[in-house]
Amino acid sequence: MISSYSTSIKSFENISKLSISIYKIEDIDILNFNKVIFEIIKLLNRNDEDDQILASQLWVCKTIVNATLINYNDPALMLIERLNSISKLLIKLSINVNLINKFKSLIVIIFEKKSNKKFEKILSISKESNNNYNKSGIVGRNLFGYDPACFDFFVSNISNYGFKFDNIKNRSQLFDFNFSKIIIVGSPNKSSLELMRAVFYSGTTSKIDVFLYDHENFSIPPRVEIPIQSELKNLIKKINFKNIKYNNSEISEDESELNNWIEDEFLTNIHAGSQIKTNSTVPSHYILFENGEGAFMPVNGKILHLNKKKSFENSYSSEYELSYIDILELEEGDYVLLRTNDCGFLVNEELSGDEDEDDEGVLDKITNWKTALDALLLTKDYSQIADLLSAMGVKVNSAKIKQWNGINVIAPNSEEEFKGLINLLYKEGKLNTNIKDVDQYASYTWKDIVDYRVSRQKAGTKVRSKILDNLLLKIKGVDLFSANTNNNLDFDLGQNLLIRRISTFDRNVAYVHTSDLFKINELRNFRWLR
Amino acid sequence: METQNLDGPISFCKNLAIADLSISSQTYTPIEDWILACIYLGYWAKSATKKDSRQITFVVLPSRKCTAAFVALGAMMSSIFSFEDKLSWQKISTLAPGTELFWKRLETGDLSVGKVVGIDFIVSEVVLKLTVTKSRKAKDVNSIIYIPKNQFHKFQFSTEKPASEKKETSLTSSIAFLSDLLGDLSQGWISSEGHDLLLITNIIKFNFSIEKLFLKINDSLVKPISIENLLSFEQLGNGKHSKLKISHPKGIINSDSGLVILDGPNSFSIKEHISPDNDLLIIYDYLEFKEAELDFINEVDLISFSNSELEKTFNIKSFPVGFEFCTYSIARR
Repeated sequence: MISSYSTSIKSFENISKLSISIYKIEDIDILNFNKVIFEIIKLLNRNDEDDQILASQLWVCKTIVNATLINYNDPALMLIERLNSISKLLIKLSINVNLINKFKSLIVIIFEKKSNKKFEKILSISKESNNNYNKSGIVGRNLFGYDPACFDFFVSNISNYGFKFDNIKNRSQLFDFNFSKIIIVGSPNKSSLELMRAVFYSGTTSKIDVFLYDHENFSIPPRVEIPIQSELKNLIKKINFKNIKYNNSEISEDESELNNWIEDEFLTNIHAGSQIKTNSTVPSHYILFENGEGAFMPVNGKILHLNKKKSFENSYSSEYELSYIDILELEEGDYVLLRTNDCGFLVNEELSGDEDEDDEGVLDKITNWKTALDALLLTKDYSQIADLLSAMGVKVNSAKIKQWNGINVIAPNSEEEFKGLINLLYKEGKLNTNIKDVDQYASYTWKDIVDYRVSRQKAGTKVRSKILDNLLLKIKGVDLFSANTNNNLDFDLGQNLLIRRISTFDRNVAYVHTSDLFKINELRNFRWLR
Repeated sequence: METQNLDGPISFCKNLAIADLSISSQTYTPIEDWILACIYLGYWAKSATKKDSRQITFVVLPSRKCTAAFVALGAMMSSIFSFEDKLSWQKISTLAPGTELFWKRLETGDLSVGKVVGIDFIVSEVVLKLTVTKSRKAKDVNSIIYIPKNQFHKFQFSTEKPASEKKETSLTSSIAFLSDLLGDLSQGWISSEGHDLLLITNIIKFNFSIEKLFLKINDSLVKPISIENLLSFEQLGNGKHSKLKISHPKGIINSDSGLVILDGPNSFSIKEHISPDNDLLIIYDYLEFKEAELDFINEVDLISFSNSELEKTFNIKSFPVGFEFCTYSIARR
């Protein structure tokens, strides 16, 4: 296992001496194919559903041709099947016959090619600089976790040529290793932008080779940079990659607009989370799993994260551990443990529990002060209440008052805050008039709150630990981390438990209704993922 | 890192060598420039504390895995240099009756625990009156003792639990190491009341990041020391004495340390809950720094005081390539 210190040293060292090489590959047929596709898409009506389906299929087809490193006639690429399907749609949409014929003939020419020039270029460059002792990585074209260009297949077969590349699919693969070189086989698209940023800015390597067809554009993905104050400009030296930009395509601007349109459509179509907050929505992130399912997860939520035990990280034996991590800490490629209820909703492990009637009674009793807080909120806002409490010596901000008023929080976390709040509610005349001794009421209620929290924690821990222990036993010995297909994750775990690998984490905040959180939607047949 | 005429600890730190004992080679190598820069920035941030203005410093690096530890080390060095033994009769005598106190009789090393009763006069002499709740001598328990003001220096008082024997050893080796590195240090600093620094971080990852990392001073007879021992940190809220307190973002964060280090986005997310009496030093890596953080910096910039002399407060020519930071001074309230 590589220590944090070694990784840090390498990060600082690599980033200061990073070299980037761009290798251009000429292939007139592939250039023409891209031009024809672009011409067709220009004719499409973006609001029409059939046109959108055609655009998506053309986009996937274009991605395969530009990115694949295996022979074009390999059945796994399904180029002829794709040609037939696209042709039918072209005819249905009455696209110019000449254009259809041009498209068909170009696909056939590409299909019949005896070699893949991009593959050959990578092979020759790799032979020149081959050092078997060093670890090389490769970033292929991955469409939101889907692998239409059969990149996995290429990586597993490259050993036949005496090479070994690590197939880099997510950021977490980069952080614990030092790669002597990372190969990039195409320009970044939106789904791979975060991964590309990580390749360039995490300091995981000191050498990046980019392989592009002549018509492909490339620029280093930008990062958000800290502003350098004029007073400190002589002290601080920013990293300065050479201004590497490769852009010689005649159709670049329009093509990039087209790509933007299609990629934006993807996430909009897939989850439809709003970018605008309303009173009834909460912030969330959409997470797409590799099997095509997805769900909204609350921005501040936690989730059970499955990881190999530290002592087994570099071994073939597999034992796992589970821990709660913040949703925001998740990365593409992470494994999470989910639990669905009978309706297919994910159970929020943090909040769920087997509440019985007694529990509900206690809960009512220990939260009845919330009615008084509601009453106070009719005349004062959160910040006014926070100010009143601060004046009493209890320093809180308005966000806390809002939390206490919400249903997810039973009571303030500290005794001082709780007693301060109760005293304020009493002073403002909002507490039940039967309460004669407010200090005694606050003390007794606080004790009940603490008892309730402890009992819930104990019960929850007991139930969870039993279920999870069984689960860990079931997957002991299975190497999840070498699993290339989703089938490997379809264990019968019982208890409605699911293990899922994250394919895409949409880092844009989507505002959704609480009822939409943790709800699994099935996207296996979604058109972009076919 | 280019330095110029350094008198501060950064020049001493050039004598440091580091070894990562988790790897097979286990050899000591000179410390890297970025480590020196982290120590320096921590030192600067702690020294920059002013009564009326709050210093907010944001540093963005290629990796932040081990950096918080070195920044904390630098801040601790600043504390040592600026330490004045302020443990006074005046402070103890203003404690409220019932306050729990721990004290050690310096002559014998005997430890006792008790509670403040108050200040009294015995034959016109001012005395501190205490009840003993725990003592090595059973007969002393529940007794009242009086400590005259003129005998006060014979005791070491604290409102924090004294360090365990193991911790005491670690603190002693830490101060021995730092004394050898930095020169004549006030021995009282390590046992002085309160903490000087709060680090908010993911505690498990932080511990892992410094595991088996050792520092040694070139050409010195002092034994190498692990960074864990050198920092001798304790979790905030456990009542145990330490000069560096550590907490996680959802843990206790009330501190009067003067400087709080926020290690990463999760720690940064609780910035509003940190008392404005504390300065902030925020550590991010390149990939974590996003538009929201930039917005925060721009907002701070708008309300900050301009300081044309800022560069002069840094006694170096430049930081290593890729070591990016900005720092602003704003009103405390």
